[in-house]
Amino acid sequence: MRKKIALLAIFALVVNPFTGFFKVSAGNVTAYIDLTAQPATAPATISSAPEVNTSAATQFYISYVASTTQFANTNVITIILPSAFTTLTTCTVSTTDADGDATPDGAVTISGQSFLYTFTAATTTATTTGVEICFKATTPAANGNYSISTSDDNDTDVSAALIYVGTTAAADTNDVTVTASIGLSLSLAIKNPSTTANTNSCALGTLNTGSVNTCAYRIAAGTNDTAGMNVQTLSDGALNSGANTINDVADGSVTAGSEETGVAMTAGTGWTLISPFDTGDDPITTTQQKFQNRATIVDETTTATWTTVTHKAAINTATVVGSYDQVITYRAYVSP
Amino acid sequence: MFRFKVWIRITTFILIGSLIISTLLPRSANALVISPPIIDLNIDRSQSYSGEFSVIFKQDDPSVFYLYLKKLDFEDFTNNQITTDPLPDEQTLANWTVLENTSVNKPEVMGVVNGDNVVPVKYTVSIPADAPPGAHYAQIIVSQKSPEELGPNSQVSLGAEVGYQILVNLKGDRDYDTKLVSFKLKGDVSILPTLPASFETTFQNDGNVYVTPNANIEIFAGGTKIDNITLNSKFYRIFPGKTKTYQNTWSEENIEELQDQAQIDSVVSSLPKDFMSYVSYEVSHFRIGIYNADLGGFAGAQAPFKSSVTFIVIPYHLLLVLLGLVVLFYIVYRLGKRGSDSTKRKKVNR
Repeated sequence: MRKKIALLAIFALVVNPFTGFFKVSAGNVTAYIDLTAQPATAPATISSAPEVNTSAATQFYISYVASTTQFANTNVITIILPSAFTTLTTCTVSTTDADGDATPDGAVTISGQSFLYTFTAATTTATTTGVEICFKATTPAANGNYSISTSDDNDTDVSAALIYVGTTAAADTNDVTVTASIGLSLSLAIKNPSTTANTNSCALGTLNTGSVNTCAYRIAAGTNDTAGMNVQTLSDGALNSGANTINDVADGSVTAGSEETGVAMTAGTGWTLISPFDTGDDPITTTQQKFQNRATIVDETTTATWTTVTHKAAINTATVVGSYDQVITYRAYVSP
Repeated sequence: MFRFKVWIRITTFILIGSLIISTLLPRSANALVISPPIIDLNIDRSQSYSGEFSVIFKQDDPSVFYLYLKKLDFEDFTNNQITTDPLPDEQTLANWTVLENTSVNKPEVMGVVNGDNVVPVKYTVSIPADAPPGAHYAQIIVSQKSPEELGPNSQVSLGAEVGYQILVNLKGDRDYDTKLVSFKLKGDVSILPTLPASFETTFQNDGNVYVTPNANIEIFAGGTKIDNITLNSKFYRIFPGKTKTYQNTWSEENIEELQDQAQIDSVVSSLPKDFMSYVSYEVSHFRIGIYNADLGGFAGAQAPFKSSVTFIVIPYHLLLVLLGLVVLFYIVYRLGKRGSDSTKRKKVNR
């Protein structure tokens, strides 16, 4: 016999989640309170914490979705207000249709600090679209959060929701004002041609007379100054190996077999390239030159706004052997 | 054999040493952020100003950025040189400015909250008693210095710098003399088929101080003000000896209010470019009438400037189409009437 009882108990525990066999406790549902009619199935449109003035006759709407069973005739929903609320009255348009199906199914009455909605007909949608009941009372004279509780007797749902009472301008003690300030800023970074990594070099490789060698990187500049910004470039001299130099391009195009070097630029979104960098291949000289500007704000991290700089170099048969290098500096400033 | 072993040891030592040293060397990453990037000082001769701006470090930045002072010698947004400062170096603002440090170091313990990645750059400007009056400028350059190791095999080494601008107008024989050269519609037109109406306002600064024009263009229709445009909403300055033209647009879409280039491009691309798109635009943005644009404002401590321009908006593409349709209907009507009359005449003749 003990074995049978034990087996029955184990069986009951196993099937409990599926049948609710042992469920005897009340259902905990989420109730919402708002100052305008809002269905409980659309909580995103409901004020998270309604704020009302002190000592003001105010109309509220409380709504929730019944947890398991529909309401039957004579079932009651009870809304209990704290004692600080006074002058409880029915709303201007007192709730008769609680479940929103346009059919009256009850009425609101008042008993002490409670509103009672008594069903006079069974509902059909309380577990899907929920119920919503209007009630009216004069709010407390003291600022603070007040809990409105609700319960029903069809499946013993219980819930509570908060209302903040206070003069919003004078003592809005449930709000926190968060402040921050943003100053003007200016930024500049040199980026890898294909990734977001920073770089500080551009290797042209080993040059030969039959080709034009290239290397590239991107200029990432940003500012929140609505006047916009500018970027200059300058070099420490020609691409050189000691006293030996590779000529700056002079004809607008670096071509194989000619000893020349220069850059071609492709503007990022919103940038205007300044002549001569707007077309062809051009040298970067020791005199600073503005090569791009804009009159709008720009986010340095937006890759589409990065301007691509492609260095090109070519040599002829007389170019002296050696390791050549050049230092290019980019300088940013806001438009004054 | 002995020598070979020694060489192996020496080579190993050098390789390991190089690896250790390379980790100790500052890494050049070329990312620079400063805030704010510009300041207007309100000081005079024999006065000092101690200020600072911030260098904002990111996690992957090098451990140090370098600072140096420089004369302001760059182009403004019209691509003209702001100033070819004729003063000798000892009489420039850059020479009167002293940096507290010549470099800024990345915080050793750097997070990304509450500004613990921000390092101030402090400086002091001391104006000498005999400083020449008028406008003076300087830049503090924050630089990721040129990389020490220049790579072999035809390498281009890159460096980034950002400039913090210091601008000041010194009293004394301070001379405001900014003239309004012209205020007109772009292209000198006076009849437009539709908006936008683009205004060009040109100033010439013949004084010795820089100014920031502050003005409005008010649009009137039939004597009633219907819109207002801020001439210099971005607070561009005009430097001594320079001519600057401000472009403003009165449009249905408030292009002037847009800051994002993509939005501006989108609006501009929606503007009419051919006859039929003009017709369509004139239907959807119907506007007709005589308008006045009144410019009023001031540029520094001098008499305010005023000017006005009148223009007419006539949606003539749309009117041409309507006229064409009227003519077409008239011709069809006449042809129809002629046919009807001919039939009647034939019946009468029978």
